[in-house]
Amino acid sequence: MLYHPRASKRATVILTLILVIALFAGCGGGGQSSPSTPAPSSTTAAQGSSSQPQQTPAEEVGPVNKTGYPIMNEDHTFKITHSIATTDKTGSWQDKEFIHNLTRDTGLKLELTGIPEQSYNEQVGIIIASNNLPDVFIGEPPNFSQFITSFYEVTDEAIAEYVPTLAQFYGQNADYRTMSVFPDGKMYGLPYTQMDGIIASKCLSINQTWLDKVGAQLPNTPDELFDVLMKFKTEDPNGNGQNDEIPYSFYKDQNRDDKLFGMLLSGFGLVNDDDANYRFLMVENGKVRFYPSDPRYLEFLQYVNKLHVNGLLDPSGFTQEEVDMIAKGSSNLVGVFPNYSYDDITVGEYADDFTHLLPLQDKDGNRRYMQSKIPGNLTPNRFVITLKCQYPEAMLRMYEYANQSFENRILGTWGPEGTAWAKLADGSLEKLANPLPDGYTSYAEIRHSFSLGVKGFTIWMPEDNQQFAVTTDREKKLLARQEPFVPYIMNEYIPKGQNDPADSQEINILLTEIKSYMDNFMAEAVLKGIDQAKWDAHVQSCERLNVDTYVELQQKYYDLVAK
Amino acid sequence: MTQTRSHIRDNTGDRIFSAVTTTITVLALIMALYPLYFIVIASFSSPEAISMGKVILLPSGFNTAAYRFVLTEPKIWNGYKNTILYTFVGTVFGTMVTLMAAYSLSRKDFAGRKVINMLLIFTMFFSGGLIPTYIVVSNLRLTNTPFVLMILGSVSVYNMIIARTFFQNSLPDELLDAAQIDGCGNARFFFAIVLPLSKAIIAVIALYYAVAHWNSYFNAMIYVSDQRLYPLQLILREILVLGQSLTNITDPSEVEALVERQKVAQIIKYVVIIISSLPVICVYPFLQKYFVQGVMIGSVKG
Repeated sequence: MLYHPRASKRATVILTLILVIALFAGCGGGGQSSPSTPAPSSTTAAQGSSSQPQQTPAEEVGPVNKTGYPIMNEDHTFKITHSIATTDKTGSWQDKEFIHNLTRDTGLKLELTGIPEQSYNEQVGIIIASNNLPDVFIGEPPNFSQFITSFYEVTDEAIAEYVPTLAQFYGQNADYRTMSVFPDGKMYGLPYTQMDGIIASKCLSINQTWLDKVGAQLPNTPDELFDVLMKFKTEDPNGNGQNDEIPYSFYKDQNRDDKLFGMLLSGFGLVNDDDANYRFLMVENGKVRFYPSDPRYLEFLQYVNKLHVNGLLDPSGFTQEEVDMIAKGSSNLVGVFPNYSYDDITVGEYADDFTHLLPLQDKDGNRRYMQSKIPGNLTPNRFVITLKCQYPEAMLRMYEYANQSFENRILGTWGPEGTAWAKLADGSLEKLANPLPDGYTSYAEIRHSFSLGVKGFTIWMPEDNQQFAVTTDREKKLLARQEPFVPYIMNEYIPKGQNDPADSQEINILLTEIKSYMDNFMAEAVLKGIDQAKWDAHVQSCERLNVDTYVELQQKYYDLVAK
Repeated sequence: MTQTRSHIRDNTGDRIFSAVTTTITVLALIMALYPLYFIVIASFSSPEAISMGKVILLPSGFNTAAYRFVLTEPKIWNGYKNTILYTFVGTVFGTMVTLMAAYSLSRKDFAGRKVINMLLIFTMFFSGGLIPTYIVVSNLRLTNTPFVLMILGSVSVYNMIIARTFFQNSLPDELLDAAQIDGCGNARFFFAIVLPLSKAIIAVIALYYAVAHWNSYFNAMIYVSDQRLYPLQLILREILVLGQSLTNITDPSEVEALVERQKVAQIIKYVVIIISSLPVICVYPFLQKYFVQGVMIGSVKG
C-alpha cells in the first residue's frame, strides 16, 4: 500500500528501457531469420517512403479533398492518441470548444484517446511496441528517433500544399524548421509552439532590501558575491534578531544544474548548457567542451566549497525540493536563489524586495549567460502521423485548420473568449489570471480545462503573443529582466534538433553514468572540499566514463546542426 | 517477558541478558513504529514545519488542511470507489478461479494433471511479458475497461500451489469416496464439502488477492487511459509523482502550476498514505489468525 514515488518512477523507466531493448531484439532476430515476418511497420515504411501511394488517388476525386470542407469524401474515423495535461480539470478533449468546432467545420470523424501526461510515455511505448498504432499521436512518443520508420515522412512539398501556415512560419524562421529535420534530411513531425519572446527566463535573484540594509552594492564578481553573502549571514538583514538567514538557497534537480550553482559558473569563465540532452557541455571556439574536467571548474568547486564552509549555502539544499525552498523564501529567510519564473512564486509577498543578479564577471571581466535557445517554446515532433494512417493528407489539413486563423489558434491553445482571456477596451487581449475563478488553483488549470493548451498542436506565433497586454506586475518584472541579459548571451551553443538515432542512444547511455557520477562528485566536492589529488582522480574518472566519446558524439552533432 | 519467568531466580548474567535483549527489542520496536507515528503527526502538521525539520515528536503548526483537501477532492473519492469495486470483484473472481483450479489439480484421478502442473509452474519462471500480454488484452478489447483491472492476474500460480497442497493434505480420499457412495457429484462435493472445510485457505488466498488488487497501479497505468476508471493508487501516484519533464518549461504559468501541485503533494503526502493503507490495516488483524494457520497448512510438502 505504500509505494515510493521515486522508486516507482525509476522502476517504470527501467521497465520502459527493457521493453525498448526487448523490442529491438525481437525485430532484429525476426528480420534475420525469416524475411517473411519482419515487423509490419518496417515493410510499410518501405512503401511509404518510396512512392507515397496515398497521394495519388487525391488527384482524381479521391477520398481526401485538397481544399474546401468537408475534408473527407467518405466515411472514415481517425484514431488520435494524445496527452492530457494534469491541470485539465475535465480530463478529456471531448468537450473542448476547439474540438467541437474542428469536427463541425472539417467534417472529420475523430476517435480521441487521451492519456494523462504522467502515464503517456509508458502507454505510448507499449502501444508502439505492440504495433497497435493510431493514425496520429499528438505528443511526441518516447524515444521517437528510434521509431521514425513507423511514421509518415512530412515533406516540404506536403507542407507547402496542405499546411501553408506552417510553410510560412518555417519560411520566416528557417531555424525552427531545422529543429525538426533528422540527420537523414527528413521530417517526421509537425511542431507545437508558444513563442512568448522570453529568452532570459532564469537568473539568480538577490534580495535588494537586504543589500540596502547591509550597505552593499550588487556584486559583480565571485569575491564580491562572497562578501555580500557573508554580510547577509552576519548582519541580520531580515531584522528579526535571529541568525536564521540563508544567504544562498537552492534545491536538488536531477536534470538542471542551474537550480544548484550552475549560474555561478559565469564567474569562472564557464557556462552551463541547461538542456537535458547536452548536459555538462559548453561550446568554445567551435569546440564542444566537457567543462567539469576543465581546470576552471576546479576553481569553481573550491569557491562553492568556500561558500559552504562559511555556512553561506542552504544546509538542506542537496536534499530539499523546490517547495521547501519556497517555504523558506516566503518566510523572508533567503538572500539569493535560482529563479526560473516569477519571483513571487518563490518568495511570495517579498517579491518586491528582489532584483535580478547579472551573471558574474570572470577574471577578464566577461559575463556569460546561457539564454533560452528559442524565444519561447517549440516542440518539433508534437503532431506525428503513423504509417497506419490511410489518409495522411487529411490529418495535415486538420493541422492546418488548427492554425489557419488567429481565432482557431487562440481557441486551440488558450480557449474561448471569457475563460482564460478577454478583450480589453483597446482591442488587446488580457489573460484572466487575476483573480482566479473559484475552484481553480492556477492559471494553467483554467487554460487546460478549456483548451488543448500546451498539449495541443497550435503554432502560437510571436505576433500572436504580442496581442496579449502585459497587465500584471510579475509579468512586467519578468519582461524587464530580458534586456539586461542580452549583452551576455552566448553566440556559441549547441542548437536544439534531431540527432542520429544510434548516436542519441549512445549519448543517453553514456550520459546516464556521467550524470550519476557527477551528482555525487559535485555534492562531495562542495561539502567536503577538493584538493589537487581529488581533482586528478576526478579527471581520471571522467576518462573512465568515456567522456571523450560523449564529447565526440556531441561535437559531431554540433558540426552537423550548427552549420 | 512474563511468559519466560519461572520459579528459578535469575542470576546476574540472566538479568543482564534480559536487560540487553529488552533494550534491543524496544529500540527495534521504536525504529519500526516511529515512521508510522511520524506519518500520523506529519499529516496534522504544516508542510513548512515538516520541511524545516520541526516535526519530531508532536505535530507542529497543527492543521487539518490536508484532510480537508483530500476529503473534498472528488478524484480521490472516485478512485476509492473504483478500488473497492476492483478489489471486491477481482478478489471474489480470482479466489474462485484459483480454488477451482487448485482443487482439480489436487485430485489424483485427474488425467493429465502432472502436465498441467508443469505448464503452470513454467509460467512462474518464464512469462510472456508485458507486450504480449498487452496485445492479448487489447485484442480481447479489454483495454480502457474496468474488467481488465478485475480479471488480469486472477490466477497466481503461487497461490494456486498453496491451495492445491492444502487440499491434498487436509482432505482425505476417503471423504470423496464416502460422498460418491452417497451419490454426490464433483461439483456438489466441491461446493458443499470442500469449500466449507477450507475456510482457512480461502481467507489466505482472498487476502493475498485483495492486497494485490488494493495496491495495484501498474495495470491501470498501462491498460486504462480514462481517468474516471483510475483506482485510488494511480490517482495518488498522479498527485505525488510530479511530471519531471525533461524539456524546459518556459511558460511561467506552467511553472506556477507545477509549484502549486508540488505544494499540494507536499501537504497531502502523509494523509494519502494514511487513507490508502487504513482499510488494509483495519482488516488485517481479523484475518491474521487464518493467515498464519492457512499458509502453514499449505506450505507443508509444498
